[in-house]
Amino acid sequence: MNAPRAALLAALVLAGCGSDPVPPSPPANTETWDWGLPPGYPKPKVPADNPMTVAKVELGRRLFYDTRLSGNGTQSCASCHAQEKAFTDGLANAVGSTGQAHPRGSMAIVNVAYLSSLTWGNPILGSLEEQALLPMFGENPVELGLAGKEAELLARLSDFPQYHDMFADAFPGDAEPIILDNIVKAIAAFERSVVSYRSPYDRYTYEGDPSALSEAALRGKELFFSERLECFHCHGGFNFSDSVTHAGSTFTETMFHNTGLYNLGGTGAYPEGNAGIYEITHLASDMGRFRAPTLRNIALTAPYMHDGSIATLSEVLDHYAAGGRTIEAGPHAGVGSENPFKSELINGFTLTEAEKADVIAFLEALTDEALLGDARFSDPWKVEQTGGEP
Amino acid sequence: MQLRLSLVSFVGLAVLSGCGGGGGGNATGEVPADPIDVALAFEARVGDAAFDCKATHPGLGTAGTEASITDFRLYVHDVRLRRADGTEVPVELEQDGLWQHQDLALLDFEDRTGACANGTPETNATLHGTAERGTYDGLSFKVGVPFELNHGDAAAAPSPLNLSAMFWSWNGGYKFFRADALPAGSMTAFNVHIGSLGCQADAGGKVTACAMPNRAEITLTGFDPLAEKVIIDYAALVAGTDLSKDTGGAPGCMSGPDDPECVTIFERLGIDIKDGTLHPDAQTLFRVE
Amino acid sequence: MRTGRRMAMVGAMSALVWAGLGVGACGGEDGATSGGATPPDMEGVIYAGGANDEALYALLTATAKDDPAQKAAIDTPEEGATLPKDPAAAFSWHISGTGASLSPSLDPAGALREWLGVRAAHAHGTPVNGRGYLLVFSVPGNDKLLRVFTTELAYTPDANAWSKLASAVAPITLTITNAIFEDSRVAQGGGPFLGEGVTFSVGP
Repeated sequence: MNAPRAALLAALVLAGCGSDPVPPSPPANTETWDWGLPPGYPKPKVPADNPMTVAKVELGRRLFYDTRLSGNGTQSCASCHAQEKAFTDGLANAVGSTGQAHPRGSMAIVNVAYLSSLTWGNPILGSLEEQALLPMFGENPVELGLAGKEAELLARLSDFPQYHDMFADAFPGDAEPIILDNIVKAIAAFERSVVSYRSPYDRYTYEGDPSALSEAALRGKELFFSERLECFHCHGGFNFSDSVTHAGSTFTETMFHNTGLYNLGGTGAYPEGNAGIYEITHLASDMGRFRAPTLRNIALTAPYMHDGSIATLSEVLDHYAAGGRTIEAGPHAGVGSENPFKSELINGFTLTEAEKADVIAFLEALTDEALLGDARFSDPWKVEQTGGEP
Repeated sequence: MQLRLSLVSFVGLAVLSGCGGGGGGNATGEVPADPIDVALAFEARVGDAAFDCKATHPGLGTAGTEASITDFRLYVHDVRLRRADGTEVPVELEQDGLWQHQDLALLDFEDRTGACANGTPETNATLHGTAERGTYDGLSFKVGVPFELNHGDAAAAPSPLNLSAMFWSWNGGYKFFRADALPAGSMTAFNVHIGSLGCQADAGGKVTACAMPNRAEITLTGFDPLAEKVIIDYAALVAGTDLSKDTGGAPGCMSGPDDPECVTIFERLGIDIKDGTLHPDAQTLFRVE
Repeated sequence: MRTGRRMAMVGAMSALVWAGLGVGACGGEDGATSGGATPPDMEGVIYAGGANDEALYALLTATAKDDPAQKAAIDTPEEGATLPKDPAAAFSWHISGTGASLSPSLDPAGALREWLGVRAAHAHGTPVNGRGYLLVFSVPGNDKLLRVFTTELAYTPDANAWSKLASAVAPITLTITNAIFEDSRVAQGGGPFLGEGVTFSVGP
């Protein structure tokens, strides 16, 4: 029997019918990334030109925590995305390396690999590689403050001998691996690796552990997924967000919603500089539309909404129960529930204090403690300073 | 024997056609018939004074503001020489791997001295290329990055699309024109950033179209573009604007259609900010003397 | 030259084998039904914990597997127990294995099926994400005495459902089949998984 027929027969025999089919030949770079996800948990999409490898994720982690990535050397990505706060910073408005305040709050770099659009309100920013350029080189406001300083950035990295090896390992075959393109690819790969799947909710829902959710959280879960509250309409699915895509998705859904937070002077307007995707599309109907972020770890990422204008989860529920926020006086006064651009899914509901406590118990069950201390996502520079094992 | 002869003739023709053109080959690969080298010079001014990163420039805008100018760069493309009868002849840009790429060129007047902290020491005030031999009466070009080049991967882009200060990532492209000023004694910059807005992307993240392209068309006539320079005057651009305050929108004008500061600036670029139509006869940023 | 052509052939053949598997040549799995099969009987199923009919359909039309780490192990009642007629008993279970990171296996044919798969009717209610459990209570002669489809790890029958169990004259067997769902469809590597039965009676 000649070679092709033998191979075909072997393939058929190995394949069988109804059991696991023949896997494709292993990728050339054998140190591929193991997500560690439990069965049934969707895997993130990875762009073809930036596959996940152990070396690349490790380099990305080092860059994520490196203050060389700011113009004045005072900030790194982690300055606004701290692991212990589920990769946010606890501020209503993020503050950049030169002290300028951002109109919006830092978003959690958790499960970002599953997002179909990035930042609070930008329908054309879909890739982590592209998004990294914003905080690095953005000037309005200045965040990391590297605009015009890319040559200096590359020089700083090249001056650190360990980076030579790390870049070469992460991008084998590149004659000159320390380039901007590889910096953003490595950072993106690290960000993709930060996946949350070990919360009490996951233990109950995916791993079938009855002890994981309290009675209150179970009642809260039912309320969350009920037609009365309808939280799941925008905050549903395994990632509690409707702007989600994963390896098995056939369509890319990107949704933006106006939840009636503002209604300046009854015109439907949101405060200038924080008008949501309107600032990108300039379509009137896009006024105040923002992306629904993931609710995983939400108990740790106060204050809430794009501008941190709601301080607690209890007040968040009040906002949705009212069908929109009323601001009595001041420059932002207005009756949010009457915002003409408000999403039709925000209609308000009744919620007793006991029920509110149950929903909050459920939201707290979305906190992934394991993620907060996972060494895979921790600051490698800190470990070195204390002399520990990286 | 015959094969060898045709090979030689072929090679010979190729060599001959390469002569007379620019150093690095031409943008589209087409060689103009009877080509000549072309150098189109620009000079940056602020009013009557030469632009200078180290100087403060007085009397700017409707409030006569004195300001230092911290950046002054722009992309141009689709450069054409105009004949007296109005017909146009394309300029094939020299591919120098630095300032010019395909049909695009970067003019860079800041030199990273004085107030121009985020710039590059290198400057470029001249477009180099080839065009058909002839007598010309004027020059036309567009300000900006052409659509085909405006939405690529900025991190991996070739020069001159690799300058982070010209990235406009939040709008998915580049700043076409960038002239930033800092009024004396103020902490608030007045920045003019022109670029495409209202861009939409498909599910894969690729930009498919932009509702407001904002690529100004510039037409200058009555001079010999091969011998005389074009003046680009920052003061003329902001003459109708009060630089000392910002009444709304981004600090300065960042092409926002709702930004009151953008209305007169766009007029002086020859763009109607309401409907996006181009009015080359209305622009005042460029002139010849 | 010859080796190259041979390798190309092998490659093409392997691709065909994959495609054949993917398009259901070897029978339905993970939601793809073979042509002409009768739709599953879903009458009388009680839905709990936000579980819906679309997810149940996906579970019933897939071929269940035997995986000791993924099976639902029944905590209450115990095997052979006699439950009092009043009040209604609470049934509870858990998933056997630790459920911790099992190496994700590559399943390209599954991915192809996902891509080709057609959605069932629009789900009524919330999409199901995570595990769903089909409880089947049976007695000799009636294999569908009571059926419940839930996302929770416990179930207490209401009066109507309990009366079906309480009035049974023979011992009742409860088996739980579970699957992991993603947006109401059975996820890759998500089963369904067969469970072991527990037999009990409801006392005099």
